[in-house]
Amino acid sequence: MTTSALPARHTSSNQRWKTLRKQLPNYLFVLPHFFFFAVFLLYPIVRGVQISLYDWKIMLKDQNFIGVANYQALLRDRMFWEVLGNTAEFMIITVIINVILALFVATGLKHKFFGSDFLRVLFYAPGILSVSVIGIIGIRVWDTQIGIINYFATTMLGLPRVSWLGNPDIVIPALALTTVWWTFGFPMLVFIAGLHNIPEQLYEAAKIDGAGHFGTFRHITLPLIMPTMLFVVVTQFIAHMQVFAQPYIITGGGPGNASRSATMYLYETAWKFFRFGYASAIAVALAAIMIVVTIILFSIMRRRTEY
Amino acid sequence: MRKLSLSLAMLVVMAMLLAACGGGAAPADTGAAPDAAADAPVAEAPAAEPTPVINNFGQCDDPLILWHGLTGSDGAVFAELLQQFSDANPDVCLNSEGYPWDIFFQKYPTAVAAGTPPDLVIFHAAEVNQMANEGLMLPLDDIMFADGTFSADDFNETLMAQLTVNGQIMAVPFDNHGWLLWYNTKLMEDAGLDPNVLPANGAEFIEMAQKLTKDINGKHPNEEGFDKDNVDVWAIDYTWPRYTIPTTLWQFGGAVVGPDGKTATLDSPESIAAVQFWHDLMYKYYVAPPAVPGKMWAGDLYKNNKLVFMWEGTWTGGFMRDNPDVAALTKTAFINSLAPDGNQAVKFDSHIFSIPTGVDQAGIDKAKKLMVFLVENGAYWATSGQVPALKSVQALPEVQSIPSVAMAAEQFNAIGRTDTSHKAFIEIQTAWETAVGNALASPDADVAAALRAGNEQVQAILDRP
Repeated sequence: MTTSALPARHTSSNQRWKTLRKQLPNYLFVLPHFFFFAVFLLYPIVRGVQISLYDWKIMLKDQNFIGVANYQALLRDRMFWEVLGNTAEFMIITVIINVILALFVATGLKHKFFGSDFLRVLFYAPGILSVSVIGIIGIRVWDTQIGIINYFATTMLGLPRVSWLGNPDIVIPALALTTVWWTFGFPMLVFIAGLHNIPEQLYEAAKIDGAGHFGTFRHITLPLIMPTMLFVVVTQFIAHMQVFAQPYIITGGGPGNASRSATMYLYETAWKFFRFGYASAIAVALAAIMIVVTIILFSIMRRRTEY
Repeated sequence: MRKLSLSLAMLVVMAMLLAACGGGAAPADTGAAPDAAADAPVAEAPAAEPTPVINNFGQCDDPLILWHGLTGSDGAVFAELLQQFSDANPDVCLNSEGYPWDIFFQKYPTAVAAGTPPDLVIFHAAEVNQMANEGLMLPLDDIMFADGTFSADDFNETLMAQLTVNGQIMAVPFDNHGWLLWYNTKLMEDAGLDPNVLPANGAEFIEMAQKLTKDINGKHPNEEGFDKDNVDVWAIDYTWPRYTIPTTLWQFGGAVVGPDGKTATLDSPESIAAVQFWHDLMYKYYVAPPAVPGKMWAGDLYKNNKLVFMWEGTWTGGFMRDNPDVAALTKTAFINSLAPDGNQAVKFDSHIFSIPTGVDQAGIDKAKKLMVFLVENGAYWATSGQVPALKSVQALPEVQSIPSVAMAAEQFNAIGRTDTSHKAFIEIQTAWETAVGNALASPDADVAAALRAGNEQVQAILDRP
């Protein structure tokens, strides 16, 4: 038994080595990216989690370990919950409008017609602008005194002047609409690609069966676009939960805290207040929230997805 | 056709980019001091950030490296001063790097932590306690004071107390800067008022402000049919809260933090009355424009003869120098009291020099040379509108000949106060600025409730070990 077992183990080991040698080029191809991924992403994430367990002072050599005290403080921090609420409101408005608008426009631009290429480029165009430019445009568009919206509202429609960025109740919708204008081109393109993947025969069959535009959209387009929808919703959710520059440039987080986002608060906690441990705890908490919500989105939308 | 569509699309994209990047007025300008903001004021939209201003004087392998945030109009005068230093000290070459303050406060701690600090930095006196507690500053007692280079008595006493942390002087003041009353004498005369008679308390101010404010039809706020949406001349503007609010709080007997340094007093009756007064000026008496993001900068209103009383910084001297027609109509005075009893107080701060932790002896020696030159040549710095830090320099004829600087120097020495020193100063400042922003955001805002919420937050910061 002993003598026969040894050659078998030897053979198995040889087999593994052969397999490894075969796969070695794959690892070598992955290695450069993995190196940078590990140095610039994996290590900072692990380090961030570690720092969140300390009362981290930038100049101290021996940092003060405080366990989960930063997380406990976070649960009691009214400001954190307020900015999280602002962020959630911004994200929900932006994602809903972006998805509906992008799908609506993509349905219209799916087929070729005179000027369809022009319109695709036109609608995508704001997406190539930097966020600083968007911020400056946003300030000019929403300005109470000299903004273009108030200009049309007051001079052409005779409506009262609205303080879009000064009213805590409407400042986030104003920022969300600015962001929709800026970003909806990308989901629109993705939806156009998704719509092209739906077999044309299904539409022809529906037409023969007498289905109208709405019925076709509801019973064919919507179910079959769900994989694309899942991608768009999840990527939009992740992107807009990290909103920073629009409120930072356009409103400075004001009035009061009304448009301060979670990432703005994180930035201020670290780089204005020098509370790096607490800022790391905010980052970890935000990441945890986003991971959980993403998993929930996946599980809900996958159930409705037809591949 | 497809090519035509694409060409048209590209043309539109190019046009949009050009429109976005092109000229026209600057975006809603901030009323912040050109050099004094660590971040954007809550009530006003932030302006586009300037790029770093880097000036090299001389070439060598081991230059004196100076980091600062003097990138505004006073930055030009500062660069001239550095040139004078370079001319007088050809053996020292100098790299001066000016950054927007928020960038400065990212670079400064990280550079010190990395062991590559600049030799000298300039920031504000109010932030000294926090930076010292973070371990970013070298004490300057032995380097600048014990050897008689400077005498602490020649600087403002209140300011030196703010710069002393745990019994050690951590910085050398370069100037005193802060709020000053700038007012348009022509608009006062037009309203039938004597420019030499200023309001002595809150009640007198409201009475005068209602006479000065008028809409495009010439009606005043206390008259029937006044159009508050189309005001032609405002009596006063709610300028940078960071200076306006502490000034008003102190006038009313309130404060953000009490005298013990451990109790938040933002919700005291006096503090609430002070902020309520500004709320009333905006939404009850209609003599000040509402404090909303993006509102026009007070300087622009003032320049266009649409503002009578302007609470603005000493650095406005540079603005007046560039606008002689406006300066000809302008007088300066102590900040007028808004309190019922006419109690006077004004906030001032200081640009200070600090040697970062980790600078070697050679760097300290070079930094000392530059500090001495700049502080002793404060008279030239006064041409930017800032008050020289040394009292002996303040008294020089060339300084006294600049009316706004002479007035500000007298004011700061007589009624000037500085922010409460604290290791979490910036966080406290952000908390109260946010609370006041909420309190003044709209006519319906509940001032007391907003200040109570802010007070709770400030107290939580003060209670932290």
